[in-house]
Amino acid sequence: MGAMIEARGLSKSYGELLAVDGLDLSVEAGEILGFLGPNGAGKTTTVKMLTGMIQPASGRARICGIDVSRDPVAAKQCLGYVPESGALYESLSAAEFLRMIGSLYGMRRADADRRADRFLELFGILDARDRLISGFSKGMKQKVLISAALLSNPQALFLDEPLNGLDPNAALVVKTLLRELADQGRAILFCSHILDVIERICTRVVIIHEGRQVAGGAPEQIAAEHGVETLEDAFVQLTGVRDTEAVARELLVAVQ
Amino acid sequence: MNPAPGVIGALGGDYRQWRALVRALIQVGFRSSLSTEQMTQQGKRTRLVSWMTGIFLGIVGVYVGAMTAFATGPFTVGLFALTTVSIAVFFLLLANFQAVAISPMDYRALGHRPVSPRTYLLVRLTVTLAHQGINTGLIVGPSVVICGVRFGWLAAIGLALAAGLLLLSIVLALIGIYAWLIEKVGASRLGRAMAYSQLFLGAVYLVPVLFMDELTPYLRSMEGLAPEGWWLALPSAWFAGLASLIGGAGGTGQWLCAALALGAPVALGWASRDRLSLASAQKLDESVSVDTDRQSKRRRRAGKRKRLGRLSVASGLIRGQFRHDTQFRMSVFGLVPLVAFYFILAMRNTGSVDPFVPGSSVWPLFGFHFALLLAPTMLLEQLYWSTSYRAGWIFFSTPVDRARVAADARHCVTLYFVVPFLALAAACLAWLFEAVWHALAHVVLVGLLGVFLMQASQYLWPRLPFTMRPVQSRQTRLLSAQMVGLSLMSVLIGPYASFAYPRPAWAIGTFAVVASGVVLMETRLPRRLNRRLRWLEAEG
Repeated sequence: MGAMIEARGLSKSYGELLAVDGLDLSVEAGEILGFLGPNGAGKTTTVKMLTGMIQPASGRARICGIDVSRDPVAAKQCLGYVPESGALYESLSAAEFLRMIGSLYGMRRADADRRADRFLELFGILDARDRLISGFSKGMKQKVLISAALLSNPQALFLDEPLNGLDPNAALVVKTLLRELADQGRAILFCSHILDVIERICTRVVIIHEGRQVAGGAPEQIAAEHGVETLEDAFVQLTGVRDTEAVARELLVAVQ
Repeated sequence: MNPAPGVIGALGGDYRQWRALVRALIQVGFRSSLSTEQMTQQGKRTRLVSWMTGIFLGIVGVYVGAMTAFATGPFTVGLFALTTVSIAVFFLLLANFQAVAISPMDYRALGHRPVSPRTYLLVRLTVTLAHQGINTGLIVGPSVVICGVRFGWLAAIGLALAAGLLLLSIVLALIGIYAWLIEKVGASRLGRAMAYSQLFLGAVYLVPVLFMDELTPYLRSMEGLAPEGWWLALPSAWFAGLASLIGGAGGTGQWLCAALALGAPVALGWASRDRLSLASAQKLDESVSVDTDRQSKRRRRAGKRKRLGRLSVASGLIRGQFRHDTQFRMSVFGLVPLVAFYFILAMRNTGSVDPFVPGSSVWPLFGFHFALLLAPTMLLEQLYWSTSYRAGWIFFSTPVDRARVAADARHCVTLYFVVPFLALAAACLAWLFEAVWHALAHVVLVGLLGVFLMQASQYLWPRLPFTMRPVQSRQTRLLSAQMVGLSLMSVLIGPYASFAYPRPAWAIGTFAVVASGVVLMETRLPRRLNRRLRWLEAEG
């Protein structure tokens, strides 16, 4: 199968800051790509360009073979996105929000309600379906966001720290679900700082630093290429600027 | 048969998406942003404020209807009613610009959804029309009835239709202007450009108000107005001409007006058809995160400024928000033309308006009083609402003295805004009264009342600066409710002053009572703020 998510030479600047610099990326159907990088490396900017939320300065993004810049509506029709932080109308109830999202993807109201209720039930928050989202905990909001991303049964999924706020049980459910979705042929781009989760569920990993790709391949392959045992060690070697233990000791002194 | 799918489809939108988004965003706009528990506690107050808004706009509508009751033709009725509508709607939209052109929340929630720019424009347009349509209906409703009774039901239908088209044109014009700015101006300058546009649009807003001043004498005389000459420079005259044409008048002026009234929304719609998209909101977000060089220079300059004792925390916060929070800056700039207008209106008056002089006509001072009372109260109100409201956690999770922060924010408004504003007002009044001491005494009295109103606002609803999530309907309701009270107070000050000032005992007593009220409130407020703010919850 061809690449469901594809970026070629993507670049984006904010003023004088070059956030993403000529990035190439592709995620095949059935693949979960771990997208790693330190804070400010350009992960969220890349995801926003791929999902059509911002325009790249140069380069091309394609979702399910559709150019995001040329036909953004068609491209967005095949993707689901769980953003890193609150993208919910909190003055709506969970049921109202999911119904609205279903309508945006052309779903009938009854179908959207049925699917939404099923998601909420499986995530254990069906009792709260008619409560305003503003009264939800962080984990409950995250469950609504994940439900909204899956509601239209998208072929390409973008997940930016999807396990944020989830309890261990819900996190386990989501991790298992992602593997199943990939097995069924979806392409998933997974951003996270939790490296052991990335190692466990991702088939391939891309590490970016200062807007550029610095490593790519299977987690164990990246570790081997850099002469270390784990992905974490490779990540620190590729992106860390100082000895982490020394920094921690200095911070302790500063705290005291 | 429902014509909406056909209309939305013909305009290039997706009907199903449009319906879902309109329904959701109207709910979002009208609902309070508080949590369920808080909503239960605040429900009564929200309902009360909503009723007060309705009553206020209803009073305005009845006033407009009464003024036009003896007008000699539908054009005159329409001109007065529609000019009032344009002023009110323009002001309410300027005060809540983010609800018109863009909403960063829309971008975050919908930016990756398959919604076309055309559908989004139609959604924003519909939601804004729904909010402002209620206000327009309240203002123009009584005039429509009067038009129907006096000039026939065709004239009434014409006026109602003209009001709808006028509202549509205003909303399209503002959307077009803001969307054009967002499209054309670089992210690094966008924040400033938006703020200056607010200043410019505020000045434009003054034009119809000055026309109103010219129009009022025609309502009292039997002389009818016709759509010709300088009146055609006033857009509301085009729509009044259309109403007059539907009502049966068929002159050249009416036909010209009708063409302009029908052409305006079409042209404005064409101009803004593909301008507004969810990316507009993203660009506005960007404008805050760049321009680091200029910000660091400002920080260095700010570091050299002399600190004002314990006010420095609150003043630093207010200055920082003014620099970086586009919405806050635009709200403050939006006040300038409003205040300038009332000043100009009072200054244009000829004859004695000095309340110390028996027999003076003090009514023209209404606008002056209104500006002096409204500006500080509105500014204090703007301090509470911010898109950075989540940063308010700092007040809730640190051992900060919340009562002191709230009080200091008010003191900042008094020190940086009210005092210079009063000095300017005193200079203007001194010129108008031709008596410096009279001007000073009057400004001090009205200034003290302004301070008292800010204290009262804090006493009734204690809040912390920049900790409230901005919600259009909440802000509009509060603004309207404040305007009811302030209008009444401003009307009463003039006659009372002209009664009290010439009587020394009354004059001294009045000053003593107002000053004591301010002092008493200042001593009572800290306890109240302490008690109430201790239990305040963060809105994040």
